Order: sequence, then structure tokens, then C-alpha cells
Amino acid sequence: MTLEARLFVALLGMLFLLIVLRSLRSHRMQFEYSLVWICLSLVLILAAVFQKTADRIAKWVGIDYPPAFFFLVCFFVVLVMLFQISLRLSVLSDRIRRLAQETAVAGALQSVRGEGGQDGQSGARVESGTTPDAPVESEDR
Amino acid sequence: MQSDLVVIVIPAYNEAETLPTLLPRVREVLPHAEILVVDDGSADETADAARAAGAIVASHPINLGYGAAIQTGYIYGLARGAKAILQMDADGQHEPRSALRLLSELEAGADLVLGSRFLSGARTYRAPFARRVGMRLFSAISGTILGRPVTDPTTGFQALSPAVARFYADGNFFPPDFPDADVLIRVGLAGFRVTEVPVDMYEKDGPSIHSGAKPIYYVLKMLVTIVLLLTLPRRRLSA
Repeated sequence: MTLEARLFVALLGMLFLLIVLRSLRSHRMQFEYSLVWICLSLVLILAAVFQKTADRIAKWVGIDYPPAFFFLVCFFVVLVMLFQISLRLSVLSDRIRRLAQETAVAGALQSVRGEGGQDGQSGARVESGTTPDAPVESEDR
Repeated sequence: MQSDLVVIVIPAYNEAETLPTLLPRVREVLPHAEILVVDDGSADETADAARAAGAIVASHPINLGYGAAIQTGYIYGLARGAKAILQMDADGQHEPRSALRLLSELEAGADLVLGSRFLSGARTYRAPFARRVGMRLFSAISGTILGRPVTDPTTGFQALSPAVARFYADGNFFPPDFPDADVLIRVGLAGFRVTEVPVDMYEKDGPSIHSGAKPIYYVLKMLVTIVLLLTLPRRRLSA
């Protein structure tokens, strides 16, 4: 890699690191999610600064063209990140669903109690903070 | 505890037009049951129509899907201490009079009773070709795995014991979109007694929840879920 190319990659890494840190400072991103991006930008910077070491690692894993190794690492990190986001999204969807369900059930139970219907006094209550594994319990069970 | 309480769960999404006709028919058949309409984030007046017809309404603030809506019904039924939970569709596809058959089978000791549109005695039901193929496929798969014939694994007309309702309400396996053959296989493998009774079902006029590109997604999802389910150790399947 030419000096200009290394400078460009290092600047890119620093710019990205700066954006991540700013997002962290303004609480737009949680530390948990920023960690991998900080690591990725550090890898960019270090790979540009210590080019010979990066080249040696590439040769060591059997890749003759060091930039290809560099792109492969970046691609893999992004892939892992996307997978993590998918996992996180599934958990969040599940939590939102539970929250909406419990809100709906609480409203329905309240309306039954309000009507003083068949079971006005002994109606069930929704515990705040019930988890997916601990659904709504009846008081009179 | 209301030991005699039957809760009828009707998941509804934009069904303001059908509910005023359906709910009185349900009420006529089961006058002492509690009818819960789960309004799944409808854009129309579903909740108002249900209330006006005398039903209790649980409203999802957002659209969560058919599976999530009936699961809300199970949570409600358990909270009310119901002895039986009956689920049926809001579009008028399920004949309310058949509910009695489902409930008496549950009373006879079953844990989960499926209302089958294909058992002898049921009114002739003709589904579109693609749907029929899917039904046959999953009927064969679930029958083979469970070791007994299952003629209608995709039916939404069911009666559940509190134990099965709890199994569904607590389990993180219960899908928010289409709980079908995969859930049925799971409940069977968990040791619950599953039976079928003939019910009358009418063909739908409006679009199905399995319309558009959804059937492909649905078949893929079912196949993957069932294969994964079979790799689970038995102890993780138990109730």
C-alpha cells in the first residue's frame, strides 16, 4: 500500500472512531453496541499504521494480497454485527409483543372489573414487570 | 376461581363489519361464556363494534399478528381462571354451533380439541388448490410424527384446557404469526391429549392471512420449525 493509501485508511478509521465516540457521548448509542465499532475503527487505524505487521498476518493465514485479507476481516466483523443485531431485534420484538399483550389484558380485566360483571371482585390483576415466563396470574387461583 | 367459566377468544383485525353478526350468534350458542375479542391493532372500529355487541375487548396498541392475538386470549383466560378456552376466527368462517362439540370433547378429558373441517360429519369445505396441498402435507407430517391421524392441523377453531393454554402462554416457542402444525406437534410431543372433532366451516370471502407470497414463507417456516423441533431433547418439550 502507498503512503497516501495508508494515510487515507488511517484518517477514515479516525473519522469513524470520532463519530462512534460522539454518538456515545450524546447517549445516542449504548456502550454495549459501540464496543465493536470502536474495535473496528481501531483495527482500521492500526492496520494502516503497522502495515508490515498486517502484511505478515495476511501471509501467515495464506492470503498473498494483504488488502484482500483486510477486507475479509472487515466483512466478517460486519457479518457478526448484523447477526447480533438480528438476535437483538428478535429479543426486542418478543418484549414489545409481551408488553402489548399485557397492556391489552390489563385493560380487558379492568373493564370486566369496572362492569362488576360475573367476577367483578375476584378478577385477576396484572403484575407490573411480569416477564414472558411469568404471565398474568389470577389473585384467586 | 370461576371453575365453570368458558372464555371464547376471537382474534380480530379490521373485523368491524363481521363482528356485529358473529357475536350474537356466539352468544346464542354459549350464553354464559365470556367473549373476549382481541383487537389486534385494527385500523377500523373493531373494538367499538365488539363492545357494542357485548364482548370484552383486549386491544393491542399495535398489530402483532394472529398468533400473538390468540396468545393474549390465553393469558386473559388463565387470569380469569377459565376451565376452558375456545378460540375461533372473527370472519364468520367458523360455525358457532360447532363450539359445543369442541367443548364437550374437552369436557370428556382431552387437553386440546381441534375442529376439523375434513372429518366425516363436517360440512364440505373446499380450500383453494395451493392451500389444500399445504394442508395435506402438514396433515401427513403431523400425523406421522404424532402417531395418529390429524386431518386439519391448520384449523383455528380449537378448545383448550387451562394446562395447554398455560403451555402456550408461557412458551417462548409460540409464534406471533401463524401457530399451526409446528405448535400442534409440539403440544402432542409434550404429552397432551390432542383430539379432533368435526366442525362446520365456511369458505372465506376476503383475503386469507396466507395470501400473496406468504404461503411460500409459511411452508418454509413450518418445515424448518418442525425439523428443528425434532432435534430437541424430549425433556425440553415437556409441559
